[in-house]
Amino acid sequence: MVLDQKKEKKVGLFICSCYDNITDKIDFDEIIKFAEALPGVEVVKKHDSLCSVSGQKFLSEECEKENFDAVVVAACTPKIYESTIGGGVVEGGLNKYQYEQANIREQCAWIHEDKNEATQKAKRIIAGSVARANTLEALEDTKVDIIPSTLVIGGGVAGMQAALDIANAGYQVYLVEKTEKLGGRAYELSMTFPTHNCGICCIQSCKSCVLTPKIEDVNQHDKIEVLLSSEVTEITGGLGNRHVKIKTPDGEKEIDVGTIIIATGSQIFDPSKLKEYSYDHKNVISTIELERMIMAQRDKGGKLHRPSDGKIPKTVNFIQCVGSRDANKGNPHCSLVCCTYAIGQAMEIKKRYPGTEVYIHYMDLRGPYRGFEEFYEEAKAAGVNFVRGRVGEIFEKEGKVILRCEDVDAGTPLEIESDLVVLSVGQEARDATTKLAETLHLPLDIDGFIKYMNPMLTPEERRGIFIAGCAQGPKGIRYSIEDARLSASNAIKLLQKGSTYIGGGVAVVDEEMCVGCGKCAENCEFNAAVIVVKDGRKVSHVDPILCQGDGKCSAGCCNKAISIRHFKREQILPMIKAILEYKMEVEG
Amino acid sequence: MILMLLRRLGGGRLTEFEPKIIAFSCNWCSYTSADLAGINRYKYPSCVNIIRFMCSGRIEPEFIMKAFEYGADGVMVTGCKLDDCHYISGNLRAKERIETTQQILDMLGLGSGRLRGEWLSASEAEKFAQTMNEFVEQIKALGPNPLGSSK
Repeated sequence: MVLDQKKEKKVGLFICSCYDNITDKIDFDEIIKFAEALPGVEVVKKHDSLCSVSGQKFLSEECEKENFDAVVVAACTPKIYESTIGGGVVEGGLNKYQYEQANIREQCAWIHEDKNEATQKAKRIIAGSVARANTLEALEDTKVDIIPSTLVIGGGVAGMQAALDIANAGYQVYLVEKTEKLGGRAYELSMTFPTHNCGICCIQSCKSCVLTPKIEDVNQHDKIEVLLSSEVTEITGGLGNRHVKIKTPDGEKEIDVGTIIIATGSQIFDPSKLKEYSYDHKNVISTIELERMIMAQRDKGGKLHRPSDGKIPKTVNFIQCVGSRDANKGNPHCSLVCCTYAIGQAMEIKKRYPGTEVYIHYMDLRGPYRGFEEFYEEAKAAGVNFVRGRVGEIFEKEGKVILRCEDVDAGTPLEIESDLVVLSVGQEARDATTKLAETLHLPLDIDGFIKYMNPMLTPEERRGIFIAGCAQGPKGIRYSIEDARLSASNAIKLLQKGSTYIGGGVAVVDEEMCVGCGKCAENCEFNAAVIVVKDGRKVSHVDPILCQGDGKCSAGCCNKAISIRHFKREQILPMIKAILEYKMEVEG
Repeated sequence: MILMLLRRLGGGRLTEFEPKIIAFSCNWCSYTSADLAGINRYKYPSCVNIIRFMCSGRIEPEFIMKAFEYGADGVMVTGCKLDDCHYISGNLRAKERIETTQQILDMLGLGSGRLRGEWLSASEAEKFAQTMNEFVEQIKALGPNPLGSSK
């Protein structure tokens, strides 16, 4: 291993006072004296604000004048201003990988009270960064072309909206749907919040609503190829160029796409998992079943018959949070839509049969949507009874369904006889989404939904993959569509650029050292490192487009044959050495 | 009191000992929590020196061993929360490697207590500072690295 550089490098060091934020705690005169003696350092200069326009101009002029091999900036954290300050260096003619930022603000000046201590530590940090800068090499980012087409997985409201937006922008879209029709869960709903009427998704008998025309738009769009009863079986390749195999009723189809939108949605919690709710009883049904009953009766006078004997129910009880907010037997998360739809269904029953008693048993009512409060007040005025308290048990006694529950507000335990019980089941992560996430190396959250990379800034690109709708967590229809439109517009931006760059900090194989053991391939979850046969011997090969630069491969390589550019052994060890050796000099 | 006496006598390593700590931190969570500790002005000793990596999965046992060879008294590896790695499982690999390296340290007589792995989210600035304070205390109790002091 080469620890000492053969060729002397020319390093420029610039320290930023951050308008006294740093100089309050760190003695710059001492730093400058110290830094001038460091190996390779030829220029040491200070500035008040290197992130400002004048600071960047100063940096680029210095770089142009001095023709440095590498530049170290001792300032704030590289997490915030690496690209801004580094931009000035790049402007001055350096490669962006020949730039190193020493964090003497967040991790030094702002931590240590004692000025001497902070100054000593700043010296160590700078010594380390300069040692590293002496080893840095210029790297090229890889240009990747984006194939101008998109695969949308899932033909629900989110998938359809994303497909339409992208197709309208002029790009070819393949829309893959597992079932035999488009529309997803929205297609199964009789009416939706907030209009509680022929809203955006009521389709069965209302020709004027929105979803039916939307399905038609998708079907008739010449840029959308709809593949029904189809499933994605394999996805290979990386950003901008993914090869997809789809199982269709007409055999296997293979396509190449530039971007992928995952809109696989959620699945409904299975209430038979909760034995105490006696879901196997005929008159205990889930909300989705109630929707189907309402839909089936739409053209036949709208009668609501209970399943056991066809009678009109005189008492209906809705049980909220079935499988939601229940870490023991169900899912710990809130499903977000159940309070709203239960109130809607309760009102519908009350509207048809004013004499029927309707109860909603709830823990809290959660409806953080515009119009929800009015909706709730309307239901109360219509005579829907809201009972706070969890239902302990549902059982049959002498042919009748009995609810054992509690009215928390009144402080009394209750036993209510009920003609019909409706379980408000929640949304949970779909098993197929989990499988897809594994194929595409997308991390899952603890609730099984695809994880937000940043919970505040969504949706974001993940190497050409975007998530829309409930695949990323429970959402209402409106929010799924908003999500889809954002994802689609981000995908369009990428498609319009036509190409993008992947950072140069990827794995690199020393083929002479490599024995082809396959440890790197084992450690790499992105399939970037694979073993190939070259000149008759097995060696590792890295695809720079698939490589994410994390370096699991490198740390696990027993022969030190694979390394990560920009984080090579030769670039890290001198840094460790310089930091530790500085202290020794002081101790004498 | 005893410390003061020792200091006056000028003998004993206890008074002289200021440990040298290297912290290898991953870019995504733990380095950010260190930054946040700075923003919130949470204090920890200045003997802690942080080196940034993209992922804790990049940290080789060799880096840890070299740090001890170069005179570090303690090495801390920090990564994302264990089920929350930016690169899916880098921190799990790091954890395995730390455990193996700890065994080697025990065999060498340096002691596994000089190496520690900690898994932090980007928001856990207070925990970062607290962990560093604890670790420095732990290293002070262990005394200087026998390899380092011979140099």
